[in-house]
This record gives sequence, C-alpha cells and structure tokens, in this order.
Amino acid sequence: MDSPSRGLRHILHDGAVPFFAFSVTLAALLVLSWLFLLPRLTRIAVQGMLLDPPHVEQYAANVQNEITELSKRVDEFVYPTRDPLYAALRAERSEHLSPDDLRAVVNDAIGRTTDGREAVAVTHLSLTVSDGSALIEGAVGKVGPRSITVLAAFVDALRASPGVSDVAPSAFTREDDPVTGPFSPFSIRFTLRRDVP
Amino acid sequence: MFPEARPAAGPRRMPPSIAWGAGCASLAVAAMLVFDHGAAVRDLQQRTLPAALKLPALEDRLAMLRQQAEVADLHAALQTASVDEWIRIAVVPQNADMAPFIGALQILEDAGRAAGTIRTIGPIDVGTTATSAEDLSVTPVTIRFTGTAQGADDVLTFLDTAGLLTVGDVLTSDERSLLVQLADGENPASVAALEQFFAADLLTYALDAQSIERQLLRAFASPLMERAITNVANTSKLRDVRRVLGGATGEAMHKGDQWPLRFLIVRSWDEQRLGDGSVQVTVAVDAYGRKGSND
Repeated sequence: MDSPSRGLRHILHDGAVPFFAFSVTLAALLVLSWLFLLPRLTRIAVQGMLLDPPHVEQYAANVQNEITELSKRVDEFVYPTRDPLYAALRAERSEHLSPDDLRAVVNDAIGRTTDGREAVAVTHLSLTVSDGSALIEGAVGKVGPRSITVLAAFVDALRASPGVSDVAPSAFTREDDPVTGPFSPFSIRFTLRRDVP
Repeated sequence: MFPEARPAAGPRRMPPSIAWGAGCASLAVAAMLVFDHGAAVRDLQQRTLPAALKLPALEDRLAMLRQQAEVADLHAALQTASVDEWIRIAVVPQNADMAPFIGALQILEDAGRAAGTIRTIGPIDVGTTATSAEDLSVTPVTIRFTGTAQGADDVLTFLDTAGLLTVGDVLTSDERSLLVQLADGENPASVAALEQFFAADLLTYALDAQSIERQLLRAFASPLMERAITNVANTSKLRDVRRVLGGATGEAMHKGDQWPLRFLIVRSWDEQRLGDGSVQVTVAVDAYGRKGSND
C-alpha cells in the first residue's frame, strides 16, 4: 500500500542533488551569458566604436537633439524672427478670412449646382472678417420656370460646402421679367469659417 | 525493495530538502535570466536596431547642418537690422500719419486707370485712431473703389501685401520650409543664397523678379531645386505681388519713396457687381501703428 509513497520519497531523495546541480549550472551559465555573452552579441558599431543598446539609443537621441538645435539656428538665419508686434500682426492676418475665401465657396457651390454656371448670377458679396458673417445676393434666371428649383439646389450646395454654416436664405419666389423671363431673386446669409477649401 | 538508510560515507551529502529548495531558487533565477535574455533581444529588434539604422542618415544630416550653421554664423555678421528698422519707421510706425498710405492708393489708382482695371478709388474715410491693449494703435479706414474684377483683385492683393517687406514675408512657412529642406541636399553655402532670396526687398523683387530668382538658382545644381524654386515663385502669393507691384505701380512707388507700406488688415469687404461688368467695392481696413509714449 505504501510502496508508491516510498517510491516517491526515493525519487525525491535521489533526484535532489542532480536537480540542484542542473539548476545551479543552468543559472550559472545564464548569469555568465548575461554578464559576458549578451552584451558582446548586442553591441552595435557606431562611428567606429562598439556601443551597448542603451548607448546606441542615447547616441541617436543626442544626434537628433543636435539636429533640431542646428536646424533652428539655420532657420533663424535663413528667415530671422521679426519685431514681436509685427510678428503678431502677421499671424493675425494669416488667420483671417479673405474675400477670396468667400468667392471660392460661392463659385464652388455654383459649379456643383445643375445649370448653376448659366443660371446663378451673384450681384452682391459681403464678408465681415471678424465673425465670418457673409451675405450674397443675386438672381437665378435663364432656366424658365425651374428658377426656384435651381435656387434651392444652389442653397443646398452652399449648405454642403465645407466651412459654411448657418445658411439662411430669403423666401424662394419667382418673378417675371418681360425681357429675360422668369427669375428667382435671392439673398442668402451664412457664416464662413477659416477651414474653407 | 529499498535499502535502509545508511550513514553517508565520505563527505556529507546535502539534505534533499535543501538541495530541492536551492535547486528551485536557481531555476527561478535561471527563468528570470531567460526572460531577460528574451527582453534584451526584443529591445534590440524593436528599439536599438531601428535607431541604429537611422543613424547614418541622421549623421549625414548633422554633418550638413554643421556646415550650414558655420556658413550661417559667417554670414550672420553681415546681416543688417534694416528690416526691423523699416518695421518701426514705416510698417508699424509710432505716428498716425495716413498720408503715405493714401499716396500709395493714388499711385495704384493711376496705374489701374492706365491699365483699364480701376475706374476710381475714393472716397477714403479715415476714422479716429484708437489704442489697443497690445501696444498698438488702430486707425479704421474705409475705401470705396470701382473697377473690373481684375482691379478688385489687384486692390485686395495690394491691401494684403501692405506691410510685407521681403520675399520671405510673402511665402508661407510651409513654402519656406520646403525650400530649406531641399537646400539640405545641396552644398552648405546654398543656405546663404536662400537667406539672400528670403531677405530680398519685396518691391525690388516685384520689379525685377528674374534677376533675383536667377541669383538664387545659381547656388543650386539640382534640377529638383530649380523646379521647386520656379514652382514656389509661380504658385505662391509672389505671383500676385509681381502682377500688382511689378509694373507701373511698383515703379511709381519706388520713385515716389512710398515703400514700404503701413501694415493693414482687411476687416470687411462689400462687393457690388454692376450691370456693365464692373464692380464697386467698399472695403474696411485697420491700419496699425505703435503706441506712442503719450498714448
């Protein structure tokens, strides 16, 4: 009945020293490898010197820092920093909307409207740069009784334009001109943001 | 089956419990070391080798930048402070005198009339100068003008250019960076040529762009750089500046000593398109100055 436990005890007794010898030898070999072999195998030649991994990374970081510093020095030479007031004014101007932005948005919306190029005539453009509020006025004509449809498509195209929000068109109406035929006058207010295309 | 325990002969054997304990401890140490070996190899693959692979390119760039910095240091002594002086005297001046700006508008009007792009400029309303919190004085000016769509573009470019002094001022930081980056691959002295190009007086450039661009191109050998310079000159705002200041307007401003212009920012733009194809524009701008000691 107790022969299995005696067998186990025997194994534990006889196997203790070999197990100890194996473990210690393995640990010792790995310690030696850690101390002498691994550093030798992981060294990398940089500028004629063999560097350990941490030193390689440190060296690369130092080179990168020196590049950043020298780039700044060269940039400052190529285009020096100006008077601070002047620099602030230039930054303000570059952040502002331009009438060209408004024209681009309106022309783009006209281009994306079916028959827009022939039918939509803008007669008034207004832009307040500080808040981006814009007003465009004009008329849609030369498309017969479809002038309201084309106007609605133009307003939709304007609404879909990037940088345009709060589009508030006047009431859609159709009037008749004895010479040119039906037309739909419009007055559209909207807000333009800086991220126009 | 098992022989009875016998007294150990010779040296005493280690008790099995201690041997097992020390063996397990050694095995644990060995396991940790195996893990550390793996971590070291992983670090080598993921961090050290990529860093090492970038090093030759970084070192080449560093060597080039060192040479460029030496050239920059040599030439920096020759740089004058004239740009900052002009900013203080004419671009953001301490006085609220608007006569030079109105004189420049008249020159633009004369040139526009001769070219058929501007019919009239005026009336020009100059408001009361106020001071802002940032050491600045602001004078609101409202300008009305009539002309063609091209004339309106010219006036807008003129107003947007007001206060800019050099070629580098007109270019965006991206455009300048592109040229600087491309110059990295050239000889180190090219950085001095680029500095001269960026520092070139804007009116002088507008009046004789070709000679200034040729001077820059002489410093570069690669066709890539030549294409980049031509591209920047033809697609940036430099093209508009050449169009507006490159002809009679620029000549007259040069002769009349109306350059550089006071710094302006457009505040509102109201454009009526008239039936005859012309446009009538009312534009409000803020003209900036520096707060005086008595402001």
